[in-house]
Amino acid sequence: MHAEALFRFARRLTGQDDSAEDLVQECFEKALRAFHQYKPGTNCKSWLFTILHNCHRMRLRSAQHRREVLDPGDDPKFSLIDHLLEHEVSSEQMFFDHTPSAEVRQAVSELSEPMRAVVLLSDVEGLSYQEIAEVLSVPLGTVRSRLNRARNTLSQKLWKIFREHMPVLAH
Amino acid sequence: MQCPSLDEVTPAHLCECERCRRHLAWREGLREKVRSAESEVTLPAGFQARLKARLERVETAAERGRWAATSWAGRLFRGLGLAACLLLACLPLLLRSQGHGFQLSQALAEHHAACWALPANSQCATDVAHWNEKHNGPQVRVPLKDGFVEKERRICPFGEVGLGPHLLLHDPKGRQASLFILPIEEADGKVPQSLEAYQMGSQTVAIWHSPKWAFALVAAGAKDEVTQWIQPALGSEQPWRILAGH
Repeated sequence: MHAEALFRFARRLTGQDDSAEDLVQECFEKALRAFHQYKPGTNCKSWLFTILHNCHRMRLRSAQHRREVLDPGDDPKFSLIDHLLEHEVSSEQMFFDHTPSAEVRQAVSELSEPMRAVVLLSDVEGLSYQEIAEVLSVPLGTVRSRLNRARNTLSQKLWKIFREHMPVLAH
Repeated sequence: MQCPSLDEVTPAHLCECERCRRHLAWREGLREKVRSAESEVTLPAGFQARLKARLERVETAAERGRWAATSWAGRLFRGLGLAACLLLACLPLLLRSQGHGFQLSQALAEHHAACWALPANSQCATDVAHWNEKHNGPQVRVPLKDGFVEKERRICPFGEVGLGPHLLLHDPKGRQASLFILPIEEADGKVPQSLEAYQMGSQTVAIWHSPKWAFALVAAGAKDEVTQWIQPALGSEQPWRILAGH
């Protein structure tokens, strides 16, 4: 059963345990009812994620509560590699070693929902671009561009965190 | 050097370009960092039990549906329901003619009785959501106050004729009632201009329309009583809400 993965994703979409659990229950209920529509041999996990995301989208729509796709204040030309080179940070591993997981989670949670969704489905759940496109009902190119933007945004946030934790190296 | 995107970068290019190597290493590192940070998840206590209970309820409801499909009593109910459904399937045709109000009311009253007799089928909720999306219909739940209380929404299985939802309601006196909703364009714009009400035994069927929707309320009671309930809804684009409030 993919309950944990679905709950993890739902919690990051809704931000609350209660809402996430309700969303997962609704997802499984719909999956049970629509099980005859599942094609054996296809990715069951991806199918469940599709249902979950649709449920979430319906809820957002009914609540008329949609967040902006773009995160304000992002610099689209930001390049972390340029900053690392400029500040002579020799190893990416050092960068990650000095960035606490809690701060990474916080940075991910601050992404707008469409971007957060692609990051979670790709990097945490290991879905392919094609599968993500099906789950989110968006074109493949949109998945790529959202993922690029999301990573760029994350880079900026993590760079700020890194500078706070490694002031000598990074300033 | 012109660098390709990371998704298209070749090994040969990586050998030559330190920037791309580091960029790739960064991306992989970021993926790993996000994965490890986000993977820690603890399901709330009792999560599995609550999920299991909910799915069992769904299965029980499905069993009841199967019973309706296989047992003789179930078949009888189903037969009645289907017969009424077939009658109601003629709704758009009937709505084209103002002179057919009585037959339409009869069909609606029969469908109302048959549909209430069928087991609850909450599976239709999915279809209602789809219908709402397709028709840009009311997205909010009916804010039920004193008066009508919504029990269930259904899209009946003859939905190919383009009918809207059938709301099973309890009227202000707690009796069974039904509200049928149909987009006006599917009624060909020939719904009676003013409210029409027909007495069907102990029930009244009231038919009216707004600029965009056609409606029919089937409720127990005399004409006067039922038509009073729908007066505030006349001409409104949101009669669900108004009806629910009365």
